[in-house]
Amino acid sequence: MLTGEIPFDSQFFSEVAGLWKNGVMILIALGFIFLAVHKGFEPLLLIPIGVGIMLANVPFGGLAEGTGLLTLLKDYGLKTEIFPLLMFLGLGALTDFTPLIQRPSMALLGAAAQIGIFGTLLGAIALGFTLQNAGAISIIGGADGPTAIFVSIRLADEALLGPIAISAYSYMAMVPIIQPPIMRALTSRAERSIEMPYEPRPAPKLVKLLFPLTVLLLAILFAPGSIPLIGMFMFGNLLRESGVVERLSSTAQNELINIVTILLGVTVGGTMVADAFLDVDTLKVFALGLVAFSLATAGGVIFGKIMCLASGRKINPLLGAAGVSAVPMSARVVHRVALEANPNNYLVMHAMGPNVAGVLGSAIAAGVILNMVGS
Amino acid sequence: MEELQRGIEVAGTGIAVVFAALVSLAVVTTLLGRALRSVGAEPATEVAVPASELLGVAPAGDAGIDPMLVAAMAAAVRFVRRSPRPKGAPEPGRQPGEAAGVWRAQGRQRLMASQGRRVRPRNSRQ
Repeated sequence: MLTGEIPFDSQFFSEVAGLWKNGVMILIALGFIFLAVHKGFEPLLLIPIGVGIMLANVPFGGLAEGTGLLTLLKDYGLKTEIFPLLMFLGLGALTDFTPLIQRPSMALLGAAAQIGIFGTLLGAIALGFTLQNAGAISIIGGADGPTAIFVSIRLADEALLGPIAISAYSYMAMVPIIQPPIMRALTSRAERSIEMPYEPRPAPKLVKLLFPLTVLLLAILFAPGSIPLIGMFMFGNLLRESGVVERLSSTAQNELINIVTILLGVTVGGTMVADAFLDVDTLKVFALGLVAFSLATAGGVIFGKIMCLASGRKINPLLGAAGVSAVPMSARVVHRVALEANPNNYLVMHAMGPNVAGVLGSAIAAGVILNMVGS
Repeated sequence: MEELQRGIEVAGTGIAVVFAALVSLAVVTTLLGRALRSVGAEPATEVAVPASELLGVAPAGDAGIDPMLVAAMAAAVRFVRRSPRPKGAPEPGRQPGEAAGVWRAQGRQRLMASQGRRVRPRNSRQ
């Protein structure tokens, strides 16, 4: 039994005893970096996030406290919504809507996959989350990191921001693992084998120019809450399609999005301090994220089956899985699963249509949730 | 329970709005595409200057060729291009030197036979 005067104060010991949590977080960070480097899972995001987690949890480092770098980045970049919105600008400049313009009916598959968001909303409420937190968690089903972060900043408790962002990006990286079993379970081999010859239809330049403005107008009409996201996305797309601001378009597609990716990643990682992250709610968020992705895939494929029947088996139902907006990962997964069933089936160009429609669908769904749930 | 009820309301409204927005987008895009296809079509489908002018040749009609004959030739070319090729046949438009092995071998055999030389396919050599 220790008697007499304790050489250090009790706060020091309690801090040392609490270090195991930091150790766990650093192991999680190393796991992210391992997945990125060794497995190639979303390395552009997982490496900055992993480093952010590590820096935030280095004992006595202080980067995520007071006026530490990570705190400043969080306050001025995340809480002000600057990082996710600039990310959307870059993504808009990178996105080519031609496949959707060539086949506008594919937009329906992008809408169907948003069932994942709304199904998860109910699941989160059932698990005891408030409506605001449930709304933020459900956006994980949109498979769109910046949208999930944007909605979380506005709706969720601060402690949930990290788990939601990490869950969204982790499951996006795992799309090739999550989606194929669901796609195979919901379709027969004959359905997966349906060939869709690619006959590119002309996409007039004027339509490409008017498309971003049309989407913005529809966002204003249907979901004003989505205007910050869709506005920046379409601004980026207009830079690309206008053809007269090549330098700006190139900057948005490269330098800007790369800088924002680094800052967003490291800041999101920095929000994952041990005390806030190692919690039962984090586990619930991860479980709900998996449910969201699965529901989104299932919703898309089931609607794809309906479109398949309605079109006289001219549409491969697998395309519905590309409505989960993880661009272009889910389109590639659709292509790969279709090739397994029929080696002559090349669906990637068809899948890009629902894929980019999914981005719009998830942004609109986020807008609806912000409008209806936001205070 | 109240939260769940509100959640159901949000979910129902949300999915309806998402569908309505994207259906509207599909309709507007289709209409825009149809209306503007002729205005800003892709360069490949746009014929601003007749090919005959670019090539510096007189149009077929001026040369006294029967337009029906031209149409028949175009239809024949289209038919040949669309019909499935026999196995091993060269792709249309390929240079003779690039012909597939089967056709090349057959041509060589015919040539040799016409010159009275013995035809012996390479693969029969032991």
